[in-house]
Amino acid sequence: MTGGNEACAIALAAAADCVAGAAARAGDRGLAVQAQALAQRCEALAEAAHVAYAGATAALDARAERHDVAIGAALAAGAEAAVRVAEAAADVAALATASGEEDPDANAAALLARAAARAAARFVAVNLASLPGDERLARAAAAVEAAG
Amino acid sequence: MTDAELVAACRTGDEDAWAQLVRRHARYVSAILRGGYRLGDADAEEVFQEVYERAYTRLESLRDPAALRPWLAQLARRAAVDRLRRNAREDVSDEVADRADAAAAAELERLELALTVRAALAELPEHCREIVDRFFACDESYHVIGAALGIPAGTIASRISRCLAKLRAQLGGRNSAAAGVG
Repeated sequence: MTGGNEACAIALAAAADCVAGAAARAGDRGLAVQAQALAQRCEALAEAAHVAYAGATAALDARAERHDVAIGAALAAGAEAAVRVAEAAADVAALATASGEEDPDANAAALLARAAARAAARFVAVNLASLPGDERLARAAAAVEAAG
Repeated sequence: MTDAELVAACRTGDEDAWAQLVRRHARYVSAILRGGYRLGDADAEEVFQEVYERAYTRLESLRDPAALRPWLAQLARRAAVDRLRRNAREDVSDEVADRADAAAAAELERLELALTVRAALAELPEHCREIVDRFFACDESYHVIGAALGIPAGTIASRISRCLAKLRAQLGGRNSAAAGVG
């Protein structure tokens, strides 16, 4: 089953690929290479998010003695995966903007990235609801702001 | 000291030069044996020793000292195939060798490229090496890189682009030299 954060990462990987195409058409090889690297990074993040979601689901279903500890660890893993997706989203949005949002593909990528940043930040907040001072909340907020 | 200079020093009996030669290419040889030919730890360690024993005894036969690395790669490939043949249960020597070489080819090409890029990176300014390493190797976000280096996150992408252009220029120069183009 696909969790929301994993869906964000999958969409981001596709968005980054769009940016790579737009940057290449604009003749900007440096941006194209960075966008390709981000696409690969987001694919790996999608896998990490899937694992974290599966872990959280399993922990919630578990009846083991260390139930609470397992849930805490799963939520922390989920928050870490989500903040990394939020930060990747900010980077994809930045590259999309730099590639020129008049390109429809770059424009679509920018919109997807901004939405992914917000969604991923929401997952950070949900996973860290019991830890209001956690620095990952600030990182996620910064990513949303940077994404635009 | 370049590889050619190292070889020249080794040929005079300079033991420090030999130690430096071994150290410089140890990871490369090991990567060929383990990553390319998938030798297990025990076999890889033994074959590693064999490779350098062969290199030591045959160093005078190396016609182009500047081509030390590909020469070591050839020694490593032959030693790895020899080990695989010895380990094979059936006498299918050529088949074992062909399969091993085919499987190793893509990995060896990747290794060569990685080493070439690494060497070119080493010749870039420190600020370029660091920012390229942080983004591509460490997967750090622009925000994290900016915070670590004290530069605005909004400028990171363009800085990386400029450093990549310098890297391309370095690699282009190496390719031209290798092709004999002035």
